[in-house]
Amino acid sequence: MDKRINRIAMSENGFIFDPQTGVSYVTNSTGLEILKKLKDAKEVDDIREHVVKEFEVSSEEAERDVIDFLELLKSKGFVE
Amino acid sequence: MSSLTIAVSGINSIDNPGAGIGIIRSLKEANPDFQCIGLSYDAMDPGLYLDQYVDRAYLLPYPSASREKYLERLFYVCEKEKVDVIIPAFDSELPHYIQNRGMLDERNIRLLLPTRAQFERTQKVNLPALGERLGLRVPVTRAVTTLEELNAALDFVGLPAMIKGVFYEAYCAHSFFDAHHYFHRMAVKWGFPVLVQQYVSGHDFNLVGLAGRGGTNLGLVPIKKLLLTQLGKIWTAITIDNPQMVEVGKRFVEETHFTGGFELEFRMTESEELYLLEINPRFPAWVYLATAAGMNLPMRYVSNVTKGEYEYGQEYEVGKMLVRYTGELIRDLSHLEFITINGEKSPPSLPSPLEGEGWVGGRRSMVL
Repeated sequence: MDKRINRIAMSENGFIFDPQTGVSYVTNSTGLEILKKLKDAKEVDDIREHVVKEFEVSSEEAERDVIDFLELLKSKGFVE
Repeated sequence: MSSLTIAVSGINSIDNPGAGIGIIRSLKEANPDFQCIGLSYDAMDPGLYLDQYVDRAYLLPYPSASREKYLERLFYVCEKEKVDVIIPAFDSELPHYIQNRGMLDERNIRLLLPTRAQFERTQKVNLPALGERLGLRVPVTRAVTTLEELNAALDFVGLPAMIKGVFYEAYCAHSFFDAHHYFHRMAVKWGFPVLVQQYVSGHDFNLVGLAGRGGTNLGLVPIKKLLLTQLGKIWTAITIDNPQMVEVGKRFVEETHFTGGFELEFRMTESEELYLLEINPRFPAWVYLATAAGMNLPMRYVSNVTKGEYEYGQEYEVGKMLVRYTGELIRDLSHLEFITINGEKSPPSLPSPLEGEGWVGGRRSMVL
């Protein structure tokens, strides 16, 4: 994953701050967990499994959430 | 009166400031024990970071976005903080308060409000009629909604002309090209109609006033504007002794039975003809100047609604100056995070993201 994801600061409340651009965002708990895993350089499959366990959702639903969120991160330039 | 809790909006002390901080400063000077609650619409309103004035504050949705959500949040704040008095500082809030006066009364929340009819009489489109009743000139004004109407209005009032948004903002157009540009800008920002007003050259004066229930004059202070921002907002001003303006203020209250804080905006030509430019149905951002000159109108507001006091002097000190200045507050990111996540003003002290628990990725510098 792109290193740009590593520079962001996140609070446990889901507040995200990009120290390079000064832009802040707010995400929900699912987004926060996905971001944490991305910062740990986890792959999509690992992240999906984590979301399944953490939020007790089906694998399909978790995959959809992870992919949607990754698309969002791509549109913001956080991942390639 | 020491335990009163007073909610105040307009804590946006920016280049186009609301009156909130001036109101709270006046109240705190009268009684430091007052609990002043800020009602804010933006996580970056400076009032949310001004701990010396604002005790606690809450983010509200814009009243124009959803009436139900606005009222729900407002009443949540009022219940949580046990609000005794509200002083609204934005024109756009007033219709909601007026419409829901009964719900405020039921909750024993006190405030000075005009009726719908009184409020409407202060609006820009109704100014010529009111000016006539007050015996004042009002620049010729046309409400327009199309470019054809705009061109016709410009032919009528001549150039330069003021192009005004229906609620806020005004620009001086020196050409048809300018006028068309500002027409589109005002229409997009504030909707229709756009107002085209005759330009009257002269010196600018304002008057702040307060009227109690039933249209009782509770105090008036006139000022001269000495320095303006590009948006035409006061940057420096001075209290003056102008009986004519004070008399107009009294007539305004008697004629309309208006209730609440208000501001009259005047322009005086070189030949000393007084024009009424605008009426704002709430306290102006410079209200603290009247307080500093000896007439604490926000405190009179509170005394009127809580104790029914009506007798006040009309004395104030002439020659008191207000000098606005820029300053910077420094806060950690944690405060913005707290306000954004919780919708409330943060406590004065919060650990920075570098030191606080629950933060991932905080760092001292990007480049070392």
